[in-house]
Order: sequence, then C-alpha cells, then structure tokens
Amino acid sequence: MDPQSYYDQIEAYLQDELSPAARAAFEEAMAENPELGKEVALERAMQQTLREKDVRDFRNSVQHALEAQKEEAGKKPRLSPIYVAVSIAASLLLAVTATWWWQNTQKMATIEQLASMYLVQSDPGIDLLDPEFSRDGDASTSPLITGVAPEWDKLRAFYAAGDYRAAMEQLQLLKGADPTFSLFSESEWTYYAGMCQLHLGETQKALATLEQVDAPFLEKATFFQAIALIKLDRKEEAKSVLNSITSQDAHSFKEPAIELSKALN
Amino acid sequence: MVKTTPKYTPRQYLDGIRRNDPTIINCIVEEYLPGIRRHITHNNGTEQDAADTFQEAMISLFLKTRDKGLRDLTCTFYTFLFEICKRLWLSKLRKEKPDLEVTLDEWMLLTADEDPQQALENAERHDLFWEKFFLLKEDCRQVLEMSLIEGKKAEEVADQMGYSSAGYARKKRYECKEKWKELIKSDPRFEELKF
Repeated sequence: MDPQSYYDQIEAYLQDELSPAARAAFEEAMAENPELGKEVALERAMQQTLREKDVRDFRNSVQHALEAQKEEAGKKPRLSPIYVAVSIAASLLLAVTATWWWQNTQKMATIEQLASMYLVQSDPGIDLLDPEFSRDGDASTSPLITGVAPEWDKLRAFYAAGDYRAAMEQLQLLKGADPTFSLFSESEWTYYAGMCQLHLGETQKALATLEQVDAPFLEKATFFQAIALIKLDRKEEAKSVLNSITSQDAHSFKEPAIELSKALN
Repeated sequence: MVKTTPKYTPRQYLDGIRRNDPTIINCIVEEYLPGIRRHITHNNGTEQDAADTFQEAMISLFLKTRDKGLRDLTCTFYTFLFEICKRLWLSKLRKEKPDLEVTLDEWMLLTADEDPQQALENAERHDLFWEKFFLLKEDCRQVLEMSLIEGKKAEEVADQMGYSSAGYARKKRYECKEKWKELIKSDPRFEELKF
C-alpha cells in the first residue's frame, strides 16, 4: 500500500467512512500492528486539536491577559536610591510640619472629635417601640400594629446600619407614599431627616432642619443642633445652646452638654 | 489566600470562561494569579512555571465547562482554581523532579475527579500541535482547516484554492498533514506524550 492510500485508510476509519467489513479488517490490523495503532491515535489527536479551535482561542485570551498583566507590572516604577533618599527627606519634613500643625489645632480637633463622638454615642436611633413614637403611648396606634412595619423596619435597619443615605430615601418614601404617614408627626419626620443629614456630613442643612423640630422631639433636636454648630465652628452659638440644656435639671442630654461646654471653654 | 470579596459569583466566572469573555479572564488573572504565583514560587517553581500552570488550569476549566457541563461550584472560584493549579504543579514536579520531596498528604486529600496528569498532557499536546501547525505555510493551513474543521470535500477545497483537480487537493492535504506530523514528531516533547 502506498503512503497516501495508507493515510486515506486511517482518515476513512476516523471519519467512520469504512464499510463494516473494512472497518473490522482495519481494527484487526491495528491490533496486530501497534505502530498502526499509534499512528491512528496521533491522527485522531491532530484532528481533534484542529477541531478545538475554541480552545485555541481561549488559550490566546488567557495568554493576552497574562502578557497584559506582566506589562502592567513592568510599568510600575522601580525605586532608585536617590528616589528613596528624597522620599525619606520629604517624609521627615512632612512629619515636622504635621507635628507643628497638630499642636496648633489639637484643641480644635478635640472639640470636633468630642462632638463627633457624642453624635454617635448620644443618638438614640429610631426605635419603633419608643413610647414617644406613638405619641399617645397607646400601642394600638403604633406603626408596628398598623401594618406599616416592613417599611419602618427598613428605615430602622438602614439607620442602625449607618446607611443614612438609604434611611433618608426611606423617609422620603414614607412621607410621600405611605398613607399612614399621619401616624407620625411632622416633628418626628423632621427630626429623623435632620439626624440623617447630620450623619451624612450635610451639617448646614442638618442645622436648618433640626431648628424646625418641635416637641416632643425638641429636646433631642436641641442637643444635636449644638453638635452641628460645633462642627460648623460656630462656637459661641454652640455654647449658648448648650447652656440652655445644662440649665435644665431634667434634660436627658445634660451630661454630654456639660462635657461639651467644658471642652468649648 | 485571597481575602478580598470576589467581583463575580462562581457561576459568573465559569460562564465567562465558557464564553471566552476577556473581562472575566482579565479579572481572574488580576485577582487570582498573584496568589497562585506565590504558591508555585514558594514550591520550587519560577514565575514562568506559575504562568504556565495558571494557563493550563484555565484551559482545564474551559474544557470542564464545555465538555462536563460545569456551571457552578460549592466553594469559591479561587479555591477551585487554586486546587487545580496545586494539582497541576505537583504533577509537574513529580514528573520533572522525581527526587524532590513534595508533601503528598495534601495531594491525597484532594478530590480527584480528574487525572491531573491527563489534564497536563492534554494541555501539552495542545501547545505542541498548535505551535507546529503555525509553522506550516499559509496554503497548507488553509487546506487543513477546510478539510478538518469545516469538513469540506476535496472538490470544494480544489475550487476554493484554485487547484486543477480534486485529486490534487487530496494530494496537497496529505502532504500538508504529513508535514505537520513530521514537525510534531521531530520535537522532543512528542516523546513525552503517550500515543
């Protein structure tokens, strides 16, 4: 058999184009001749490789990604000794400057930090079971019972998780779409909105909102107004608000107000 | 181990691999190659070994998604990829450096749903065959692609290539395939493949 016919036989076998009798004869020949078996296996692998074009494409994609990553890593600047020396000198200069700045602003930072600390520590959050919430103290009018709990739960959860942006959106939703909005007063809503703004760092806006809050949320709102004023560096006004709190015996924020007043003085 | 939150779910990673999605592939390289590289370079390998092993593992994953219907994982994608890389690398170490002491306890503990040696050989075979295929002349590659990938008959190949007859197209196909085979067989890597 000439080489091409031999090859044609292998190909016909692999492509299942032989008659049953020819196929059986070919398989018998393979069993007798291991070299033929190897040749068939190699042919099969070659054909399979060519058919697996998708594997080749995938391999190329991985290869490109690896090369791109290598190139990216190569772009990162190597640190020369001069660069390192200059960096150390710059760092030292920065450290000296920072120490000077820190010493001069320590007092301001302390008051600011104290205000931030009290904002977090003194905020009672949103508690649906707070008697203040159902103003008349009657549980039957609590939002938990009137079927709006899931929406309120969301608000409380956002607020408790510190996601004040989402809490603010939820407040808007409750005010705009919930028919039970009448269950809580404008004063409550304004207080929570002001608190969200304060936590979000929208201090000016928060101050304006908290100034609109009436009883029974006025007590809380007043204390957080003082916090906002400290953050806005309006210290004299903050002192005046804090004095109004410390002069009241039963004010629930008397202790933190005293601490803040001391720090301001 | 990588401790950052994965950008995608295991299903999304596998789906991206199946679709040959460059965004997913780049993300995998960027996020997970460093950890694999660290493991391999700390275990007698070079950075190139790490890149090769990573590529082989990715192809093995591609084949798993294509042929075995792998769609999701019960572990994180990184854990799965890392295990494949570890197995491939251990397999390579045992083959290339038989005297080297490797901890095989871990190897024994691995869930062996695939023979890593086989996966390695498949990847090596792929490398060798494609490398040699691209050494063929352009017309040879075209003839073989038309015959073997597109399944075209000799008459169609002759027509498309401008050959005088189907007989000549058959002869050309034979010669090209023999040339390809010769290139494969003359490479020392061929001896390591089982045929």
